[in-house]
Amino acid sequence: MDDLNPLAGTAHLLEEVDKKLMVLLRDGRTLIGYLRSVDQFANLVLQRTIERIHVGNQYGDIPRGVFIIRGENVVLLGEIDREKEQKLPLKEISVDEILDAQRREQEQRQEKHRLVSKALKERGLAVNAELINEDFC
Amino acid sequence: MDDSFFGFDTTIPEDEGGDGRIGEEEYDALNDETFGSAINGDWEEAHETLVRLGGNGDKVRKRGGFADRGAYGGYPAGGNGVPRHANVLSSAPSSSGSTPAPFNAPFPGSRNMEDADLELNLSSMKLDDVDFSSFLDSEAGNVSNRVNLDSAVWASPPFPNNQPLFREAMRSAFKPQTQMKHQQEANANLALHHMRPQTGPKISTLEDIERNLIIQQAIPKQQQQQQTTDRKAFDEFSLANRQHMLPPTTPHQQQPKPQNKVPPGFMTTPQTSPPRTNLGFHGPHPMPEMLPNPQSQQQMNGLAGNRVPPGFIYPPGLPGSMPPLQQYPLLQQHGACALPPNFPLGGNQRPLPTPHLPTALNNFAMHPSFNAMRAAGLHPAAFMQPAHPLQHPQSRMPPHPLQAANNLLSQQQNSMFNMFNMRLVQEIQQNHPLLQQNAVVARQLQQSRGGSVPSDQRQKQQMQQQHLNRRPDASGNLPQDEYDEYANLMSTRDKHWLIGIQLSQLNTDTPYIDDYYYTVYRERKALQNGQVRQSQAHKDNQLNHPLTQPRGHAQLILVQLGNKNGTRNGHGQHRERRNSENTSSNNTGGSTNNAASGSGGNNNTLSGYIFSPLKFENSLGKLQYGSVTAPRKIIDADIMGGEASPGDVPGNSASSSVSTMSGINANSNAGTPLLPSANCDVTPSSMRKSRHILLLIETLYRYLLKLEDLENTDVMATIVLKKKKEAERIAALEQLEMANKTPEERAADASNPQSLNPQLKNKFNYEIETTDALVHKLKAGLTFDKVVAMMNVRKGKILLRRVMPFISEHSICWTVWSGVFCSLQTVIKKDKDDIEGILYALYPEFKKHISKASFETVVTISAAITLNDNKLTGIFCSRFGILSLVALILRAEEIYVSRVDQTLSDTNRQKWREFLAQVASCLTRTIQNQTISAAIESDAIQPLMDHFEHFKDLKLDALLALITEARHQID
Repeated sequence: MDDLNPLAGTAHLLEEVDKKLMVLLRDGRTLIGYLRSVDQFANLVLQRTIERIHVGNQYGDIPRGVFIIRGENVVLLGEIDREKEQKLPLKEISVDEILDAQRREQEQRQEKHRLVSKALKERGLAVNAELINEDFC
Repeated sequence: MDDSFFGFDTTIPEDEGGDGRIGEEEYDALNDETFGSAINGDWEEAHETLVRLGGNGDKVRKRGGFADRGAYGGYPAGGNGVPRHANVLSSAPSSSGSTPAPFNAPFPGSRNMEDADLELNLSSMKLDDVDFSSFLDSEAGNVSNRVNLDSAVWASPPFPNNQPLFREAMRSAFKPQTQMKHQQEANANLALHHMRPQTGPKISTLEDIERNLIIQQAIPKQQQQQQTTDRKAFDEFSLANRQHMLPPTTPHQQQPKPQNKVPPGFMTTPQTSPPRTNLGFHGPHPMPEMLPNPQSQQQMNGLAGNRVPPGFIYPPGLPGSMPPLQQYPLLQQHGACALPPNFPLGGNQRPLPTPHLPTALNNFAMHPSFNAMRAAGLHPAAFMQPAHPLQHPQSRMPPHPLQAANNLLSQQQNSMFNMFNMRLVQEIQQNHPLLQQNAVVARQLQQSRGGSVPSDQRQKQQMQQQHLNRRPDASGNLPQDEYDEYANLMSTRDKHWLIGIQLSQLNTDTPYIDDYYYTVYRERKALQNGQVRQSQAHKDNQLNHPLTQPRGHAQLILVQLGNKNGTRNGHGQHRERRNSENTSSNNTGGSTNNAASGSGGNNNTLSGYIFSPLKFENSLGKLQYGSVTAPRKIIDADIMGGEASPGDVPGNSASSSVSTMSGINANSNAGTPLLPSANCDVTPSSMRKSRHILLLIETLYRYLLKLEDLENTDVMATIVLKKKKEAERIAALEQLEMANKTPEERAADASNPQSLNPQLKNKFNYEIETTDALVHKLKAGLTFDKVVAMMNVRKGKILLRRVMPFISEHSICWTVWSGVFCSLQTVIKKDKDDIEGILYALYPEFKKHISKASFETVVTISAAITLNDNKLTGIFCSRFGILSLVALILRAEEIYVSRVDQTLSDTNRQKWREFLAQVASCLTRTIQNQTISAAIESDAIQPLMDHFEHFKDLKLDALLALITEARHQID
């Protein structure tokens, strides 16, 4: 069968059009929206987009509306399972709360990083902060 | 008929005006929702004016309201609808033929025209003409909302005499089908099974439909009453069937549906189709999408492809034809097919889109690789119509006979779809106003095909269809009850374009290299499944298998390995060489000349060596290759940093010089290119020098190997064949690339040749050069200094030996020999282990050369021989040295005896004498402690002694003794 399918062995984003997708960007942001259009560069047009911020087992959604994403910024994307979405083991909190939580988390991380680099410095080691991507720690 | 239909009140008030008023309100609400404010002014006002001008304003208006309500509600037909419907059927033909003028009235553009003029006018219009589409959008579109086309639209036989030309063409094209129509009439139930979309006996044009729309709209009420009894009976029959199939309870039952505007025979279930089903095929319209309903007109109005306007909703829980629909997810998506034309949307009642098939199908036609898509690009309504339990046959949009036929077919075989769509495409091509010029061709095509699609093609399409349309449902991952008004914003054309890009990328003749993982995966899977049969793809892959025929990166690796070790250049057969070979030879620039002349005083250009690290094709990063035994990268990295040295390769021009200065010689003059000689002092590292010499030797070896290739016809034949193959490959690739390019891209490429597809690069860029060119390049590298340096390397000596036959005719060979003798002293010291083996191999060449040398050359060579008081003088302590010396003396004697040499001047004699004196004194002063085992021919002794007679004043006995001693040793 596959012999006759010219697109066998490949994946194409057209299958995802009009589906609800979660898109992870290079800067670490997570967007959830309905894919409306794609092109050959995997540039995406998301509609009814929300930016979802996860902190621990909490999350908050920031409405973003229509979102056009340059394809190179997409780390990964996947379809949202509508059934599982209904029974999310996470707790939704308000935008303000999640932003606050995110800020606190970042501060904690920075503090930890500061301590680590200080300790390393005392041992004669330099840590290049540039090399450590805070978002994916 | 009953007054109720499935429990609905289907009675119509006697006063039609009252009912019409209600319908009009509803209609207006719908209209507002649908169109917002009218696009082109207040169409309603204009319309009313026009209708008034037409004379039947009130009634038409009221009827329109009815019809529209019926269409939007999608309600089943009520009892009163039957007579009215039949009335329309019966009246339409006669009215269209007899009183055409009033029906033109609603069309603002042609209200004053005669019917014929209207037709001509419309036929000359383009579908995507702005005026036309907008006009249809605002006026005719809404007219059609209210007026249902019935089968009479297509059944209206009495076309005016002045029909458009293309209708004639259509008729002639569909003659066979016309005959079939009669058969179907004779036996409708039987004909049902034969019903195929292409069996339309008569094809109506857009103009026909429009005209019939007008007719319908303007038909006086009293005319509607004139219905034939057989039609009535038939419609009753149809209704009975509908009642039979419709579910008893429907959520959208709100109002009785008084009007039955649907052509009889378009039953939702084919099994229960009435005998007169084929009534609808009196004149099947080939272009359902061209019906001037608001949806299709909206699409025509600037929207490309099958966009679905907001308000589009996929019907939930479709029974019946849903499974086939689910087989065509792309179709659902692309073709905007998921919505039945009159699907009740509750609060979201908007004009529902009809796929713009002319565009879509023409796009399909433009993409031959998308037969499957084309096959699936069936009118969506055709799928949906029978599926919806609520859908009343009396659609707001006239159920197209083709659609109805397709409904039947949809439950049968997929191949029918393909046939249908191919037919549809053909029909559209024939009848589309824009494609008039193609009509003849298309008709011929159709006739030549005999009206049938090859079954294998159908099967293939079917297969592709199943693969391409894998989407499980039509509405993304939305819950089925969720309404996604922005779905299908991507048009079919967009999607096909995208898939086309992907397909073009997959188009490769070397899948094993270009699509390795999938290909191998498939092979393995095939093996697992025990498929002994080898597919064509498999064979292709085997052809390109790296083990059987190295190509691509496998070939590259081999080339790299071969060049690295320098050992693959053995004897004869076809050798692969590094890619940089040719680029380097082509890169000799002006700075090269400077460097070459600076180092060797030789103005010949020597192509530089540019190391290009191994890269795997299409890999993002550089994958460096290096091994313990061949740490090439490390060597090169070092050299790239400090380029210039006596052994520097001149081909590396100013840039490398600059890097040299920054890396090593930062204090030197940065403004001028560094000459190797200048760098000698500042780069004392013998290691670095030796590396440069190694690189030089390798460069010269390349020329040498090419020269040797030229000598071997077998090798040349192989190379030519390989070049041809590669050229064919590149040509094919280029062709493919050009085919996928727009003219703009081609222009851009022409202006920027750098942006060539890397695949187009010649992987086997063996450039066949002439011997002269190669010798020229060889000579550039064989300067005195370099020969001296090369003599210190084992493979340098071998190189010189192999080079000698090619340069024997050139004066450069004496430079080389001078270098050889000059280096003899150090060579002796260095290569104690294998003095004679390689060095002695040079002797036969020297002997050959010296036998033709002039006396001046002899003198020059003699001057190059280093003579000192060392106990280990090279010329005496090596077999090559002593034999060369003997050969030299013998040549001098020869010249002395013959006395024909013009260079036998006194100066040269004097020099020669000095040389002999030096040899003699050297021998007498120092006792050579190295035994010489030179094979001196016994007949050479006498000439030597004769020669020495010329210089009796010199104490040449020692030399003679040396030579004879050597001879004795041999003896």
